[in-house]
Amino acid sequence: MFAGKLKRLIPALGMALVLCTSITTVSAHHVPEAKFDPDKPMQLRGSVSKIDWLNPHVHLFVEVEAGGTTTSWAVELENTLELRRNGWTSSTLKSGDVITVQGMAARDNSRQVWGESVIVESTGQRVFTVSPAVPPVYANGPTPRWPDGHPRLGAPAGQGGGYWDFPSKSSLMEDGVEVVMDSSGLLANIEDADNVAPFQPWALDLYKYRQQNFLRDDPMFTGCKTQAGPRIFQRPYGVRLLEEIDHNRIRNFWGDGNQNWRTIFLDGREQTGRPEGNSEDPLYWGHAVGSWVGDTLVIDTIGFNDSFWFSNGGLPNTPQLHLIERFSRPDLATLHYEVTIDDPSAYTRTWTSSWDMVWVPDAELPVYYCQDNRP
Amino acid sequence: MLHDLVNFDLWTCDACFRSINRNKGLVPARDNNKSNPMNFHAALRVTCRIWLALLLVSVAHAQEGHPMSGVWVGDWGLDGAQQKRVVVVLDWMGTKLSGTINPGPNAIPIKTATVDTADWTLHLEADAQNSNGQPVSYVIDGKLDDLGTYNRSLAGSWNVGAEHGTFSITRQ
Repeated sequence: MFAGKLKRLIPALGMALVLCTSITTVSAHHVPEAKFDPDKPMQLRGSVSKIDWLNPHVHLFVEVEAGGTTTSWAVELENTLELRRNGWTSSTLKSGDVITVQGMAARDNSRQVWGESVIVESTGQRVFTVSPAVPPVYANGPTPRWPDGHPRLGAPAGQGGGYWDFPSKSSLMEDGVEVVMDSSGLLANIEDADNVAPFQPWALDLYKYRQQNFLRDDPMFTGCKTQAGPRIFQRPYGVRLLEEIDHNRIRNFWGDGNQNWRTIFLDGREQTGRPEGNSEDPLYWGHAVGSWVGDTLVIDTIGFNDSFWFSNGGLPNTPQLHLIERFSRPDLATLHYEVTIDDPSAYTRTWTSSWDMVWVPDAELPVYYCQDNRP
Repeated sequence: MLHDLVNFDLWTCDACFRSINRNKGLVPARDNNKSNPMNFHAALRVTCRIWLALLLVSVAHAQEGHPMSGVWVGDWGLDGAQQKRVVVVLDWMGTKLSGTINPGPNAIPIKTATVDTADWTLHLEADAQNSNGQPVSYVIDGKLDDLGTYNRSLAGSWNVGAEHGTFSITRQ
């Protein structure tokens, strides 16, 4: 079971209220334990010299005096979107403010600490606290539709904005399997690894290695590489499916990770993706062709490279990856996403995973730019 | 990195060509034809460079899939002898690992390739001919280091017939 559940209450009068208690990912970057050691708690006190208000993580630079010597420390916090959502800004602290920090020390023994608690000495106020985002609450309704009867994957007619967020699963696992994971896809019990998917032996061993090392080698974290495949629908900050009716295609945008997007062709063109990558495409997202089957949009994608992780939690994939994605919208507030994974070089058979997402109306996709403070 | 690999092929092709044609008496101990870009030697070097560049481009994106897949470059050498540059190309497809040692005109196809993912050790076997045209068997055993990084490395024993040596290669 996951960190939260999606619950829907339907009053007797037929007006459905969407009340969701799912807990979503709070960090769009690395799992803190990948860089910081929970078994090495520490505390420091010093004066703020600089606030680096940039993604993927905000940093406070603090001058710490001890034994007559002053050393510089970096306190790592959440990203700017999470801090702003919780009411904090780059002006919350100013140079010279004295703070006390409690957190986890860096695994490499550098002068860095993950700031679990930051208290301003002059006021006693605890700052930069972050609570998980929660889905919006509003009156649910029927599936909005285009004039031809197909479900709309975006806002209802006459409305603008909106996107899908708050996935009910934070990582891939085969439908019917129940294992405990956190919001980043880290297993609570590594012994559950072989239950997650029908891995080939090498893929299971690699998955365990990635899990045991707190996903530290995730290329999204080490190099701001894009998410691709089903991971697009499990990252924070949502997705938008922009239907370009006149051009028979869909642009799939997402808020996390440098405002990347992919194209889904609905014009009946031939699937020309190749396992080694399609030279027409950026290669991370393969070549996607789709069509409506009743009220379900079915998308066939092949031609991925293997320069990305296709799931939170580090399930392996190879260039032989072939995905069948199915999108349906049973009501206004719900997008049901189902993906069938066919990667004969990593898994022993095809398998399926599915989850729901919540419609966030009248809002624009958040902008999270991973490479903000990269050289 | 890619530039280094493209230039490396010059050594590989040059050494291969000299080895072949010295035995046939076609090339003197020193190459005195460097000033003539139109000779056959130069044409073969260009061909080798193009071939290897195409190979490297085709596998350049292999990163996060099977940890052994990709182009590995480094050195090998028999005990007491000078280290030699080597390129090993490995590819995991389906449930099998395959590959080539020193792709090019004197490529050595890998006959057996297995990996034990319990400890990420690699075993390769290949058959080739030595400079005298005699058959020799290569048996290569190595252990993967830095599994999660892009430039992971393999090192271990590199045996040719009855002679023993070592190798160290890094994924490009």
